Amino acid sequence: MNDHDHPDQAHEPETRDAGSRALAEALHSSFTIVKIAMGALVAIILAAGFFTVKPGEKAVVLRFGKPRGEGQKMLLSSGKFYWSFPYPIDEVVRIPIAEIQKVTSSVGWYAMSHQDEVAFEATGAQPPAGGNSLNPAIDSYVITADQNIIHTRATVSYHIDDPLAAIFNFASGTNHEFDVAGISNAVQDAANNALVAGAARFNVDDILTRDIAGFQDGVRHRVNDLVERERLGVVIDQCQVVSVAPRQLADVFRQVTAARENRHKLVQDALGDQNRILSAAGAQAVAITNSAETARNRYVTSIQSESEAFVKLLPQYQSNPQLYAQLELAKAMPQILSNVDKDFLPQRADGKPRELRLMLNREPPQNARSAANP
Amino acid sequence: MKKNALTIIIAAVLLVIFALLLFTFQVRQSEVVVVSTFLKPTDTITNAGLYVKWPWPVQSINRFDQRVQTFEDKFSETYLADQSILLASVYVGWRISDAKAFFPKFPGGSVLEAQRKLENMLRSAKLAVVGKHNLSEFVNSDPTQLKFNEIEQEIKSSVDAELAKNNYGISLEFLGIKRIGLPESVTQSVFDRMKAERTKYITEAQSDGEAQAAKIKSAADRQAADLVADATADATRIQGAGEAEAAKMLGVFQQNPQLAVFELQLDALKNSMNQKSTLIFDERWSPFSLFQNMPANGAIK
Amino acid sequence: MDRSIQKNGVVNFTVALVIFLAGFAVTVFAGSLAGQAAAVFLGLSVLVTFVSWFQMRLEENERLEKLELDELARSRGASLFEAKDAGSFPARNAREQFEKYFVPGFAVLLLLLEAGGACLLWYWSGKNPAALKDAGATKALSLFAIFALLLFLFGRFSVTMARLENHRLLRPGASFLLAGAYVCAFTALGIAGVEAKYPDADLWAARALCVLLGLLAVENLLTLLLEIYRPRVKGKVVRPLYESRVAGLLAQPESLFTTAAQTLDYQFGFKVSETWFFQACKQNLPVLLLAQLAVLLLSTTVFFVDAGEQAVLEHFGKNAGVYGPGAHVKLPWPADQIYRFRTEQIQSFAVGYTPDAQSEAASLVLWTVPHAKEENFLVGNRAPSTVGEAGTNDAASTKPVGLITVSIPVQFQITNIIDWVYNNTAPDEFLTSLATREVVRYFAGSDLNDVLSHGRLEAATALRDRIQAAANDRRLGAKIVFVGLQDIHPPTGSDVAKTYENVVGAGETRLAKILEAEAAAIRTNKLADAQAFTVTNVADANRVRVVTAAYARAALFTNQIPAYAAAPSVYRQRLYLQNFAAATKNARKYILLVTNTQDVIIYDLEDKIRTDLENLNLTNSP
Repeated sequence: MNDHDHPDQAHEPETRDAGSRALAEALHSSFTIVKIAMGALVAIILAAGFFTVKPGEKAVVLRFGKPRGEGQKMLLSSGKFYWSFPYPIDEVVRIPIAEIQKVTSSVGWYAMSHQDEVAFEATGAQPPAGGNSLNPAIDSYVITADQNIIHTRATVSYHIDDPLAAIFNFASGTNHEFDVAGISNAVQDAANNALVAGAARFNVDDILTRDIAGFQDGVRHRVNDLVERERLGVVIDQCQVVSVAPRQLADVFRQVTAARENRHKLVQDALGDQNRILSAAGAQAVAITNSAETARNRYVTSIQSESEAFVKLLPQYQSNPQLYAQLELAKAMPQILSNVDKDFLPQRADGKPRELRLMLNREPPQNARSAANP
Repeated sequence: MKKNALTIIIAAVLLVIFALLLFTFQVRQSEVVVVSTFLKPTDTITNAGLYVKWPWPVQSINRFDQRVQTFEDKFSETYLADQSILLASVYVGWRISDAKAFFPKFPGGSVLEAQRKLENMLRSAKLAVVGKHNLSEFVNSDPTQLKFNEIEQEIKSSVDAELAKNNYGISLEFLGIKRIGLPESVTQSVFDRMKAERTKYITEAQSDGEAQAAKIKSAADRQAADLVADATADATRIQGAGEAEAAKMLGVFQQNPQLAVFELQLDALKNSMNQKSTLIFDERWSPFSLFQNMPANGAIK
Repeated sequence: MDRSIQKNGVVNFTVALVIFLAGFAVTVFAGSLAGQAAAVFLGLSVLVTFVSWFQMRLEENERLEKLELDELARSRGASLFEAKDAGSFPARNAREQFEKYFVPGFAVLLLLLEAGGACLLWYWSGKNPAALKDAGATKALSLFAIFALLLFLFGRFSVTMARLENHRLLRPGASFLLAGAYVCAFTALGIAGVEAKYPDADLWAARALCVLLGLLAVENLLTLLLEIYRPRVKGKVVRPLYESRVAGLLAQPESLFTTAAQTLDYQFGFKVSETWFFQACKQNLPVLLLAQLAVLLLSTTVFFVDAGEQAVLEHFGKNAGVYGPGAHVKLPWPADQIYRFRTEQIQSFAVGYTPDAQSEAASLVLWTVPHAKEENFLVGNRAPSTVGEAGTNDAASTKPVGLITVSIPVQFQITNIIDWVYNNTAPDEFLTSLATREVVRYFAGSDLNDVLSHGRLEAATALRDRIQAAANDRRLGAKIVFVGLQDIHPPTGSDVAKTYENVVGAGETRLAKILEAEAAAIRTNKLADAQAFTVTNVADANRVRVVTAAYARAALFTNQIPAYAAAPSVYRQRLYLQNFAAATKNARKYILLVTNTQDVIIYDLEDKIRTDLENLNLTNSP
């Protein structure tokens, strides 16, 4: 059904030519564009061969999939310009590795928020406990050899010794990507296992107070053993272990230490008392003997002086005993009667005896205490 | 013509690249590739490098990561042989050891599927082995009774045997216990016991201290009393020595005992009457006898 | 000629309008979904016929005007040729304006109606799929058939007219009418289907019509868009924008090729339809189609079996062999058919629990927290029962049983595919049931404590053997690869699991109590020890003191004897008087030297006033 064209035959060859000419021109210009694009592509590929490595990263060049270089030389560090062929000949794999890697154990400690972490690192202050039990979904802990529960954590610092093993041999679910997650997880697993196994051998007092260094050593040995046995290709630099009693029991643990110190103090005090008592007694003993000595001396001297006086007085007395007695009495009377209350009772005029009534009182009791303070 | 030559060269380069893409493939480090011819697995390649193959659909490749994957099973609760309850989880490092055997066993060679089946086996083996032991074999200060490493070894051999028996193509590089714990209600009771233990130590320390202090003090008191007693005895002895010395001189007094006694009485009077004494006397006693028969004076009455 | 065309246009319009109204009424009366779509379609045709008739009128006016002008020009001479200005051709202007502005706008309106109608109808039909009322179904059916017939008559006439007369403005309306006829017929079919007990027929018919409307809308849109790019060749007459090729196609299916040719020609502006390729296709189309079919059939002769799979070949339904991974040849479908099964692949099912995504993702499995729907299994209990009647016969006494929940994943492979496929109807479920039965039997015959703790390894091995034996008995062709006892514990509900934990807790509490007692014992012992020591020491000290004092006193006395012997009376008096003086020094002494009295001494032994009252210091402090 030719219903489009108006019968205008003269135009038809023109249009056809025009159309095909337009098409040909379009194709030609497209080809030119394609050629230019290809040239630019080659230039870009060549230029993209240069690359650098950022600090905090290392790079490995895989030529046809195989890493170039051996051992430590495999890892390219930052600071230099490198060149590699484009993909698919060479592939540059960047791996974030620090010089020293650090990993903290993930079992054995209760849940801490970031602020709590910071506070703990700074001052050792622990957040308050949530309840009187430990929920295994939230908090973690280890069991000691005497079936006590404590919290402990290990921070392991290590560096990669054999990149072929550490990077290219371990993964953690990141298929076909290279990073340190695999080796980091493996070291963390080793640290966890070392903590659990270490705690299983030591008693709670050893871990917390008596043998802290021994426990840390034990953990470190086990981490080293595991790292070697599993051929992780890393070297452990440092392994630090921190252990605390459960927060719910922190008070009572402190009280044990305090009680032990207190006992020491009690014994020391008692020894001090002992010294004091002994020295007082010694002094007292010396005083007693000294006073006895003094008394004896005084007694002997007084006897001696009395006897000498007696010898002197004897002839006087023997000449007239009565007179002597009266004289002496008269001499002594003033002295005797000086401090005496004297009551003179004359005789009644009619010579009858008086009735003397004497009212004798009790002496007031001695008050040992001093008078009340004003 | 020049333009033509350039176009031809570029076309040729493109063709070469295209052919390379179709006919070669790379095996990256730590990958293992299974080459299947018409979907049947024929070759396994583990070393990294560039290899040749026929293009799809004649030959196709499947890549697998042959690195050791670290993986852990669920932290699950189980019964021990001594009727106590323990929660335990293990971690493993596993890898695809035989890709050709691994590949058909899991849909699409999916590592996730394999991991799921592995978790089942791990958990069953762990619970079976753990259930055979007592709690004192997990934690013990006596190294001969502690069977921690043996338990890990048992679990590993059990899973190894399962994997080998059915040729899963997976091997375990290492296995270890990641974590052990107790049910939440039991931790509360353990806390109570720990508290009682600590309280016992506190009491021990306190009463020990008090007892020792008391003992030291009483020993000191005893010693002091001994010292004083000795001193008193010595004092008495000294007194006796004094007496003995005085005895030599006392004979003098026996020449006239009355005088001696008189002097002594006089001294005694002086000493005893110098305080708190009241004397009531009448005029009979000398020298107050002088007051007798005094001339009566109106004033005196 | 033109007048008859116009008259034709009017007739089309009237017919379309009448049938539209009638159809609408029938639809409302009978409630047919397809009828609603048909009504929309008819409405569109009403609009199209009206507009095309209007356009026809405008063209007619323009033509008349031109005739007049020509006559005038002939009569007036050459002077008119210089006075050509736009304003003196009103009819042509009107038509041009119409074509420039109204027609595209109308096309857009049509587009909106088509699209909106399609969407709304789809939505409505989804909401109430069975809206057809039984009462009017037959009537609706017959009415729609009549409409179809009428529309067909008029449409066919108009279309032929348009083709013969080559009038482009008649074509849209005509093709819409004719297409409308087929639409009504389709609707009638739908209703008939419902009558013939296929209740979805109406819905599907409505949906098909919705799709058609959508197609119209899409085509309209494309036409509008492509109109912008079409090369404007001078002298070519523009076809009306609102003419729908789809409707035309619907009206005249036999002109598929010509329509395609026309479209290409029209779009590209040159005769694509006359290139050799197009002609070749057109001529050899049937052959090409046949060739396509043959290739399709041949492609089923080669089949690939994936790794880990096996395929069973059936030759006209009869088993003809098993094929492993790789490429194989067979007779084409339907002579040979293959069925694939995963054989080397490890499949699994679960006994005793139903895994769900949440419990799979959880990383902690506790007895007291429910995880995955679990079922309870009976298990024996060897522990002696303390609840029993005295004097019962041992054989007759009932042993207690326990309930546990187990999670047993079972992994298996299909080893003999023929057995697997042909011996049982649902081998998967059958294997699951077998496994469950074996599990139930095993646990019923074992001891609770064994199975909970140290008997798991044996249980796993025994279960695997038993399930394998049962599967072999029934010739399932499966190999049990692994049976795992993943979780065995007392049931989570009713606090049974919690009570198990409490037992362990009670053990710890017992230890705590023992420790408390020990602490008390230590304290008592130590203090008693110290007290004993003290008492002993005190006694000893006393003893020593007394003894030494006695010894010393004896020694003193021994020394006093010679002193006494040296001066007996003096010594005694001396001792007496000295001690008398010392003793009475502080005592109150009353010395009565009176001889002239009768003495009466009254002793007042009352307690004195308190000395602290005597010692008060009364000060005047401000």
